[in-house]
Amino acid sequence: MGVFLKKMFYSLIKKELLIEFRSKQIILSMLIFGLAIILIFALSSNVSSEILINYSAGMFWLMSLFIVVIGVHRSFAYEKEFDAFSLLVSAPVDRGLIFLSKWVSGFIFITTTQLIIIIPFFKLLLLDIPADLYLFILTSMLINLGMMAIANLVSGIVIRSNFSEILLPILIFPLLSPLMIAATKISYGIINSQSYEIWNVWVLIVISIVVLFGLAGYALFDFIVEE
Amino acid sequence: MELFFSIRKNRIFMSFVAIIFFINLLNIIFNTPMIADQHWAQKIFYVHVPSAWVGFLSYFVVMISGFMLFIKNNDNWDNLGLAAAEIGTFFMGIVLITGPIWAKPIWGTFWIWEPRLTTTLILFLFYLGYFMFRSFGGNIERIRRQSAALGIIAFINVPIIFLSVQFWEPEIQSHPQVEMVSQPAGILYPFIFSLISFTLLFILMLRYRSHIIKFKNIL
Amino acid sequence: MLVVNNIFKSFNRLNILNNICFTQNKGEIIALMGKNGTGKSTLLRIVARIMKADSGIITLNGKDLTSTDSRYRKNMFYIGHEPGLYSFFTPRENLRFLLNIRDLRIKEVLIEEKLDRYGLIDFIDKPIAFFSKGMLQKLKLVQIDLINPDLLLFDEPYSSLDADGVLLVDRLIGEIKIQNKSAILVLHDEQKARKHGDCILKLEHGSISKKNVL
Repeated sequence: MGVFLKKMFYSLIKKELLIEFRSKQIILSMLIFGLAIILIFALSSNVSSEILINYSAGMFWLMSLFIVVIGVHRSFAYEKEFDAFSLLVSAPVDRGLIFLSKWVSGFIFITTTQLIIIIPFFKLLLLDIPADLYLFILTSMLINLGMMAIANLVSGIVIRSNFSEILLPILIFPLLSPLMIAATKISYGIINSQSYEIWNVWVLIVISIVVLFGLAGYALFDFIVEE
Repeated sequence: MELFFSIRKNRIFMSFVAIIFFINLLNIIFNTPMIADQHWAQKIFYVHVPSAWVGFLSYFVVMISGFMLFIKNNDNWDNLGLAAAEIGTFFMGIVLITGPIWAKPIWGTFWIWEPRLTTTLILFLFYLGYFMFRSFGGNIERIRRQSAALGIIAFINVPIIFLSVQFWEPEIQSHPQVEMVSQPAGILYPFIFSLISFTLLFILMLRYRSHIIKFKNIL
Repeated sequence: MLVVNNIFKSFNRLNILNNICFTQNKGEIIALMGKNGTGKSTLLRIVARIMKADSGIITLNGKDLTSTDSRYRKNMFYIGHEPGLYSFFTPRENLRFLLNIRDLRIKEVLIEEKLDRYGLIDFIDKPIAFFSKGMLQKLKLVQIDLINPDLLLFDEPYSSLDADGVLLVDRLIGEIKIQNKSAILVLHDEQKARKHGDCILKLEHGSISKKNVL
């Protein structure tokens, strides 16, 4: 049974990655939208870089939040196109695995986008790249797991709804508030070379969000995907 | 199906709650002590805190209703959940209004990002989205199950929201409500009485609203 | 054996299915007929567990299909109006994915053979986004042929097909019969229903109004 589940999971992940490799729609749209947001940040913030550095962590995660909504919506749009979602739902596939595959693939997409966009983000805002860039990226990956768990769970709920593109951000943003606070605190700490003890409590909060919503998503997905 | 207030025990309960609530209001206005630096603003405390209690209790009921809908597959649980969501959002709205009114004389500002108010605002916004989803989401039979999931997700997030905001700016003072245990009887007992009367009001509103929703579904 | 018991379904409080009950024996082909909007597709989607009934039980060989155990759905296959595939994938990739999630080990050469049988071999490595409706319908037939389920749920098998396509469907259903497999087919043509079905169920006003055993 375990081998079967593992095989199923790999098939689902492979499907997600292959579609994206073929279409390039998710990462590309997240990237372009992210760059557009950076542009607006740069044009609309009339402050010096000494002040901007205090806001850079928040701006980075605000940008990430917007591009996650785009990416997740697109990821589920594939399923609606030729009603492929019905194929998945009617197949002998554990529905929690569908959530897990969306979660993991979404994590890969947002992380890839952030890896590309992180240097332009700091450079276009005329800021120095953080000295502990590797730590910034590592913690961002953990935060991305949390973001994607919540985003995919809510997206699974609204996918069949009218106005899903409006409902998705309206429902996700309040739920992601604690994660955004934690993300900003962690990133701020790293950008300003604060010691780990100052921001480690936020890492614990992020881990608890990842675990909580990962489990909730796996458990609830079966109940929410049926028409 | 009978009208809610045509049932005798409902009329008795409503009268009981109305009397208790009226006594509560009189108690708050005339019987509670004036705090030197807060004056009349402090009396909002007897409305603000019980409203928050009812709000969170309502959202807890939404979560439980969600679980029960999945377990029992009975639409009455959705009726209860929806009624609780509406009542909870109404009382959270009261919290968001009374909080700043109380805060202004204390802090000199209407709003501050302290944990309780921030958690309230986040939940309030989420539930506005919840009602939008219920309106635009599609066929009601599917909406019921998915709303149940939303209600569960929202409430399990509450402790995390609260802790995050608390750690966020620890130097921000909590909303000016004093530790209840150390309060003199003149403040503590009216507070407890207000809490009880708001809870009874919540039960009445919940029963009434669930009845109306069930009635509407039948029609 | 498929047992459908007391199925009720409504959309926005409008009753679509009212107390649907029927049994299908192994090897039986049921033709599900009725006017547009009578709930034929809805019933099929409920059996396939894409849609949740308001109440009722469906069992397949004694196993409750409404349970969360996905393995109970292994021996049935649903095909709806839409192809249920990914537009960016080629037929080869779509079919390979379909087989993988059903844990079916089928050689590549057999996939090619089936695509050739249904006249799609020339398009095997082209994304299906560019396929016509008729081609997509034929691709559905390839799916069925490869998976070879014990219970097939097929919504409007003849939709969008040319004369050759119609013959292919006839042949496929004939093979299903020979193999003693079961199928529920949503059909509009009474002639086809009488030709293929062992039994016709007519849905009218949400109930089975007529059951002809042929």
